[in-house]
Amino acid sequence: MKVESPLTFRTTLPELEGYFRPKSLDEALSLLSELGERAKIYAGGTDLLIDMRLRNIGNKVVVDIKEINELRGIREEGDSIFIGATTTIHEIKTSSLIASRLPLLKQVVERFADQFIRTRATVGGNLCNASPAADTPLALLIYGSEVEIASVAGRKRVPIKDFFKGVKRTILAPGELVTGVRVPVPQGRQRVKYLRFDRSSEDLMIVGIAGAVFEGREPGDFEFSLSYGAVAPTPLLFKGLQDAYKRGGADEVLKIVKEKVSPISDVRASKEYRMHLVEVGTRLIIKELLGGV
Amino acid sequence: MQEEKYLYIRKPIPRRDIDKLTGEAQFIADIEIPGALWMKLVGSPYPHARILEIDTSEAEKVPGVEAVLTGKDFPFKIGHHIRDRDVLARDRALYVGHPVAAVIAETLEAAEKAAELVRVKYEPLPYVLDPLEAMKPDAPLLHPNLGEYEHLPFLYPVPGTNIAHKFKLRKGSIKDGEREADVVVEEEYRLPMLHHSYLEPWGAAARVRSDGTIEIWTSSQGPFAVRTQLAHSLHIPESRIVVHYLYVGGGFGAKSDLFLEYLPVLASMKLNGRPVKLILNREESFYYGFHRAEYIFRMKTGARKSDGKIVFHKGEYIYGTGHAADLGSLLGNTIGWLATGPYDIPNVWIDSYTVYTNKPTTTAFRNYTHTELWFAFEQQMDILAERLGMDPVEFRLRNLIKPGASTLPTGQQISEDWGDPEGVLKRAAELIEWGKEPEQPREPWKRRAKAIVMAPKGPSMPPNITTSAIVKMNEDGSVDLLTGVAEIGQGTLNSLAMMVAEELQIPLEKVRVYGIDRDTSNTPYDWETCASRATFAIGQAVLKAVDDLKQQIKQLASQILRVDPSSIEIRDGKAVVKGEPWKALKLEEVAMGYTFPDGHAIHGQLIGRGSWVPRRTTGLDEEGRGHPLEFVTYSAQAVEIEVDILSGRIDILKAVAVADTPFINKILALGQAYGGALMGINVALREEIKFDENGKILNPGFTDYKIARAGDIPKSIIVEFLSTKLLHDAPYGAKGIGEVFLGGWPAAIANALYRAIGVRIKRAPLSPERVVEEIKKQKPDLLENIVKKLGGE
Repeated sequence: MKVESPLTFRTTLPELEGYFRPKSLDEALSLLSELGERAKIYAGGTDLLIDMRLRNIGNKVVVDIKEINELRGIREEGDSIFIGATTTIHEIKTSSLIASRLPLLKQVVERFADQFIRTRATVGGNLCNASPAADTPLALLIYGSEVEIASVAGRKRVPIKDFFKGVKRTILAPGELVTGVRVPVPQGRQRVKYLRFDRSSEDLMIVGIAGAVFEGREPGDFEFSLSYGAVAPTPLLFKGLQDAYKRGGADEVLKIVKEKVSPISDVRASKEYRMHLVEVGTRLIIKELLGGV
Repeated sequence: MQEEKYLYIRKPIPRRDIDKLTGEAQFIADIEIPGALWMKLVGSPYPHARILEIDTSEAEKVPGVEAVLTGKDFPFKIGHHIRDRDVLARDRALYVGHPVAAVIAETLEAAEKAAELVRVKYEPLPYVLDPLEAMKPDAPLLHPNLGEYEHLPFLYPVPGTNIAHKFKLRKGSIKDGEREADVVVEEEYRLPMLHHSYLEPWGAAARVRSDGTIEIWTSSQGPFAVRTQLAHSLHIPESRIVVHYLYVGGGFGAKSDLFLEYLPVLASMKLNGRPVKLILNREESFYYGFHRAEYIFRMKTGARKSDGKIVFHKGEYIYGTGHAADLGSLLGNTIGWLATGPYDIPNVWIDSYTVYTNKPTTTAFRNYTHTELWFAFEQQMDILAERLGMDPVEFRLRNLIKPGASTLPTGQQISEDWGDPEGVLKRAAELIEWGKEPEQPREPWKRRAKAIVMAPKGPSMPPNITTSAIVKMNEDGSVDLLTGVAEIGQGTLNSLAMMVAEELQIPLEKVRVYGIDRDTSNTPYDWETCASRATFAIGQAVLKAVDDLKQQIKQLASQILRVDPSSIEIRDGKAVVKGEPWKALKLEEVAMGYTFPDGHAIHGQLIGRGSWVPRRTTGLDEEGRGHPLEFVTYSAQAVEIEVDILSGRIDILKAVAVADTPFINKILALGQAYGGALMGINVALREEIKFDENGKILNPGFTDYKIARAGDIPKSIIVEFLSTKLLHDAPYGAKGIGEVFLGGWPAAIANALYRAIGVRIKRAPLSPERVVEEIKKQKPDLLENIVKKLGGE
């Protein structure tokens, strides 16, 4: 005999314990510091509202950061581009600055969900939600970006490769807020390619693979990087693959990659199919980016 | 020909019912009934379990909760075709999600909160999810009392098993066929359970009025079907039930019969008639709703080398109906008599089974078993053609039924005026440029190929279902049309208005068609919007009603104009004496009868009426003999696909659909054609309800139940309507087109895949993952060679 919690499916959103819409970063940071773990940050809401309806998160205090001007926008600052946390995916997709300087990020956001979601979803939300299948980290990792984090204690920059801790987990502590991401602009020529495998033209990824070749000063001198989504608890980055490629081509690169990818089987795809896509996708990207080198 | 004389028929006339654009359209969620309570269901977490105890005490303490109902409150079974459903699970829960309790509260929030506090003690029992397993003698039984269930006469349950209905069809002798066959193909095909993916989740509200009338608002394709089936299930006279018409956000078959309307009705009865509302969300639509069944087709088909004729077909067709067969039994029946598709086969032996499993239950799905059967049969045809060394189009042409000469395996004669199956196939072959090899893409890992299939549709409906129409004249000479048709998005109201305007030769604006401001007590009867029959059947009733009205106009005008009624014609909004156009009466002068100059009046308001009932169909006997079909819309479909061997992804480059029927409204007809094609292609490539090993649904929402998006629409869809023959009693020759375009896409795509890379997939959907899996199984070298080439070797 077993007593079971019943199967029920919520239609309604939970009652909130509180809702704040700070107008400045300082106001937001002091609120977050005061609320601690009770706070839930609300930007685009494309993940938050679903989690709330499904009661994946309890009754929290919602801090809506959409009206904080300094968190929004795309700016060139020296050798890098700063993208504010509440900048929407649509804004990134339509930015000429991104298109000309960070073409891999442009390719990645073009395949991001659908137009409805792109209009709402923000780059900060995409990072903080820390889904293994998130799109924007794949480009941001390859560009060597830094996540800018603020709290009442001050500001810091963290390399994005150190930002993700696991499925839906980041290094953020209570009271901390991502204010944006700083992306260094490659100084030489870049060749980039994003391959995204999915079940329909507007879908979550089954496997995402981004690749870039950054050319150096000397002829024949280049840096080759790959990043992978939905094949491990966090997005994966492989930098400096050019030596392996020169040594043994795609086979050698795949040897390195396969040591770290560990896809799971779920409703979207089996582990075996994801491994197959890693294999053929990596070869396709290498053919496209380095086929002529 | 005759066509040019029409004012409206066949023209691309935009819809006039634009309530959805203006926001005036009312769906169930918009209906506000003062004092209404909300219902929330509590589902079983087990696929099969004995319910030992239900503790509702904590739930009842939640403020706002009025009642918590359980199976004990309703100690009877319901069902129309076979009485096999509990209102709420009583002794045993039969699938994950089976509602075991219903909370009723002042607000949805309170109902949800209380639902989570209902505590149920279960004893888990052995369960069976696969229909083939469920047919084995030692399988756990879902319905041990099956033999005692009341059911309609043409259903044959097998007590002591999980077989809710067994249908048999026998024609000729399989032994004779086997002796003659040079080539025999024996295969098994499978299709998964599907969600109908209607945009609007189902919902209903009900109350019992103080005079005993049961009033229902529901998102339904058939308000009268709801009334009939509810009346029968609950032993209530039909006239005591009033069902209101609402806008319906898509049905595709799921909302064609009684859904869960009985829950708010019975709850309202328990609560002194207070209105109760039950509106499902998407997850609940997956768990509590009705789905397309899973199918297994086992086929053995033989053909002769000398002339390419099929000499026998033996089939075991299995319909996995889930935990209830009230509606599924009819579909299990239809795959049986549909048996051999549009082909003339002398020896046929079919057993079709409707089989219970511990899963959600099933119902009609657009194209009512045809798409599923074609998936199996049309692959069988291509395999046979290949083994015979024949072109698949030529092979089909040799075996197609011959109108006027062939009979269905049930013995029904193929009527000549149903159209020309050969002509349809040949036209589709022309449009896809059959015989011309597709140009192959530059990438060596992509291949293209074409395929072509037959995919006719004959509506499956009871032989005695009826419909009727009333046209009444208004003082200003305009006309109101009253019918029982449910508008579920298809636009039939527009087509019917066009017919009235055409017949009376009046402006379309002068015909008002009652849409949703109707209920079953103030509108003529109609069975339901399904089986591609609304325009066909109701159209005939409307034409009869208009004819009746015209006779009355002529009769009245003849008295006033002092001529014989036969010398009066109706045109330009007037009754005119033929050859003497100066002798005429405007319709507004006779609408309410005619008033003479001295004030004396005759006749009163003119009201025409008409009704229709199928005239060709009968029931089927125990051996499957009889006349199941009113008509067939012949159709052929062709595709050109491109498969990416590396990822397994299939793209449809070109889709061709040819149907042998004229239409009423070109815009609406094309809407059905494109919509049907997109849905059929998506069913082929993406759709599947996935269950875990405990019967829990893994994808109860559109995040993981994939529907095609804009970027997935084929680059080229070519639709052509032929009019080889006009079915004489169909309105303007127009047969049904609501389903035929869902057609044979899954079969066409599977055949094209085989022609592209030699990999045969007998299991739907043809998802990229499945394609790669099958390439690895059937053609591992193909993949390995391409991977090698990528390395530059």
